[in-house]
Amino acid sequence: MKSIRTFLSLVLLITGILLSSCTGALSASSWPGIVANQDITYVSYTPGVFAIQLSNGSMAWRYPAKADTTKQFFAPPAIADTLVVAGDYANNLYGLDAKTGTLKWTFTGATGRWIGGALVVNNLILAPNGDNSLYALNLNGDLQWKFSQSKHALWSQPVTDGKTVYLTSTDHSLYALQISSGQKIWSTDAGGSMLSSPALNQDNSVIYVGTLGGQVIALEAATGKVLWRFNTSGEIWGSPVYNNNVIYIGDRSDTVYAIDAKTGLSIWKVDVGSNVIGSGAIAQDGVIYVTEGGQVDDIGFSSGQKLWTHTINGKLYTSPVIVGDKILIAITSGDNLLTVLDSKGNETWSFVVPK
Amino acid sequence: MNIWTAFVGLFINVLLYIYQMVGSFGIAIILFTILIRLVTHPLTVQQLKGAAAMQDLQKDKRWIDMQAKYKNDKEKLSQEQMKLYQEMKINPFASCLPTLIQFPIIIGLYQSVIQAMASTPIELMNLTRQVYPSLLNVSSLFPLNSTFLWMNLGQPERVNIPGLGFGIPVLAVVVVATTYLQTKLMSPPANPGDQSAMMTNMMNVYMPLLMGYLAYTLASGLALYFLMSNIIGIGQYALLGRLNWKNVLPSFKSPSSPSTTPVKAKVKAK
Repeated sequence: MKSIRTFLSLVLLITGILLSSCTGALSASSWPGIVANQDITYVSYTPGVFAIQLSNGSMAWRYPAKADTTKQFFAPPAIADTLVVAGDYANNLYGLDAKTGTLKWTFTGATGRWIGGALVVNNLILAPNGDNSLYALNLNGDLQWKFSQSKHALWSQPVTDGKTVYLTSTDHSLYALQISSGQKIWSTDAGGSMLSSPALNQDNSVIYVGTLGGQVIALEAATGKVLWRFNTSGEIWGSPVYNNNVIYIGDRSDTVYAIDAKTGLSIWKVDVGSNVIGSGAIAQDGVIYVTEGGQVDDIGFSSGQKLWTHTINGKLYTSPVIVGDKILIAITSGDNLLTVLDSKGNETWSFVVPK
Repeated sequence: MNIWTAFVGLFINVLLYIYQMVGSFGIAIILFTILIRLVTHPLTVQQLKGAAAMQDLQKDKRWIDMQAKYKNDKEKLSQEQMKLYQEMKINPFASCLPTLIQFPIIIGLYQSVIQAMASTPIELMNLTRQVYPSLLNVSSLFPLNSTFLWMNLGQPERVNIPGLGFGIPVLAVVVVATTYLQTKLMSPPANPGDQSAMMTNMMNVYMPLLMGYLAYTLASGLALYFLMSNIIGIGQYALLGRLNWKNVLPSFKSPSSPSTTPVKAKVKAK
C-alpha cells in the first residue's frame, strides 16, 4: 500500500512538472516575420531578430547577440530609416539600430504579445498588440496615442493612406482611425476574425479584407460600407493582394483565387495542393504564393496557370517578400530559416540560424 | 492523429460545444468539470470501496498477525498478503486506478483550455484542425470570451489592488485551501501505528501546495477546474457519506463513522 501511494505521489509530481513546463520556454507558436529593404532583410524568429545581407546571405547582426529564452520573436520587424522595430512575446517592443542591432530603446507599455508587425509612416510607429490595443509611438519609442476599442487581440499590421489608419482585429471588426490622434472614424463588423492586414486599391478608395469565416470583403474606405462579399471554400489567414484591379487571395482549402476588384466576381481559381496561410507577393509575370506543404508557386496573372514551382523542406506560412529579382522565403520547421530564389524559382542562397 | 491528440480533441469539442451554448468560457469550464465528475463517478465509488476495503483489511487480525510474524521476511509477508487479498476478494489497486485516471484528464483539460483560448497563430491553426466541423464553426466561435468574473482564463489569475506593487493570487489561495480541506476530509481516520499515516500526512501537505503552485503559474482556466473539481469532489464524498469531519473538526461526532462499523460485517458486505 505504501509503495502504491509513493508511486501515486511520484505520478502527481511528474504531472505537476509536465504542466509547469508548459509555461516555460515557448515552442514555436507562430512563424517567422520578415521585412526587407534593398540591401538587408530582417527576420524575426524564436531566438531573435536576424539582419541578413541580401547580396550573399551573410548575417550582419542578430538581436539579442546570444539566444535568450526570455525573448521570443515572431512579429515581422518594421524598418524606419536607421531604426528596426521588433516586438517579442514578453510584451516588449524594441527599437534597434538598423546598422548594428544595438538596442536604442524598449517600449514596455503593452501587456500582450507582439504578434502583428508594426507599420512606420511619417515618423510614427503604429504597433498592434495582443492586449487589444494599437500603440502609436514616435521614433524614440515614446507613446503618442493608443487605440483600445478592439475587444480582442490585434494580430496584423495596419495599413494607411497617410491620413487614415485601417486596422483589422480578431474581434471581427475593421477599424478606421485618424492617424493624428487614433480617434475612430468608423468600424464595420466583417462577420469573422481577421488575422492579416487589409489591402487598399490604387486610389485608396476601397479597402479589402479576408476573414477566418472564408469571405473576402470590399468596403468603401471613407465610410466602411460593404461593397461586395466573395465566399471562399476555406478559412482565410493571409491578406488580399491588389494588383491592376484584381484581388488575389489564398485559403485553407488549398486554393488561390483571382477576383475582380470592382465586382467581386471570380476570375479564376487554382488548386495549389496545400493550405495557403501567407499572402501573395506580386512578381513580374505572376503572383507568388507559398503553401504549408513547402511549395512556392508563381501563378500567372491572367491565366491562373503555374509558371514555375519550387519545393522547400519545411512549412511555409510566412508571406514571401520580393526585392528586385529576389524572392525571400522564410521557413517554419525547416532546415533553413530563409531561402532566396531568383525570379525563375532557382535557389540563390539559404540562411541557417547560427548556433 | 495519435490517440492523445484525439483525446484532447474530444475534450476541446465538448468544451467548445458547451461554450457555444452558454457563451461564457468560465461557465463552460465549470459545466465541463461537472460533466467529467459525473462520467467518472462510478470510478470514484469504486475508489472509495477499494480504499475502505484496504482500511478494513489492515484492521483484520490475520493481517496484523502476519505483519508481526513475517516482519523479517518481506517476501513471505508479500505472499501471505496476496493470499489474504485473494481470500477476501480485495484488489489492492482498486483504490488507485481511479486516481490515476485523473492525471490524463487534468493534462487533457489543461491542453484543451490552452488550445481553445488560441492566443497564438499556431494555437488557432491547431484548434481549427481539432474542431469537428459538423458540430462547431470555429470562425463564429473565435475569439472566445475568455473573461470570467475578474479573470482572463488564458492567463494566471492575480487581483491587483491600487498601491500594492504586486497582484494577489486569490484563486491559487482558494485552490490551496479547498485542496487541503478535500484531502483532510477524504483521509481515513488516523489509527495509531498505521503505516500509511505518515504518507497520508505528507500528501495532506504536499498536495495542496502542488495544486496551489500549478494554480499560481498556469492559466486561471485550469485553476478554475481545480477549484470546481475540489468542491464537487467534497460534495460527492458528502453524498456518499464518506467525509471525515473529525480530521478537520476534532470535536465532531459522526454517528456513522466508517471506522466504527464492525470490520467483518463490512468486508462480508462486499
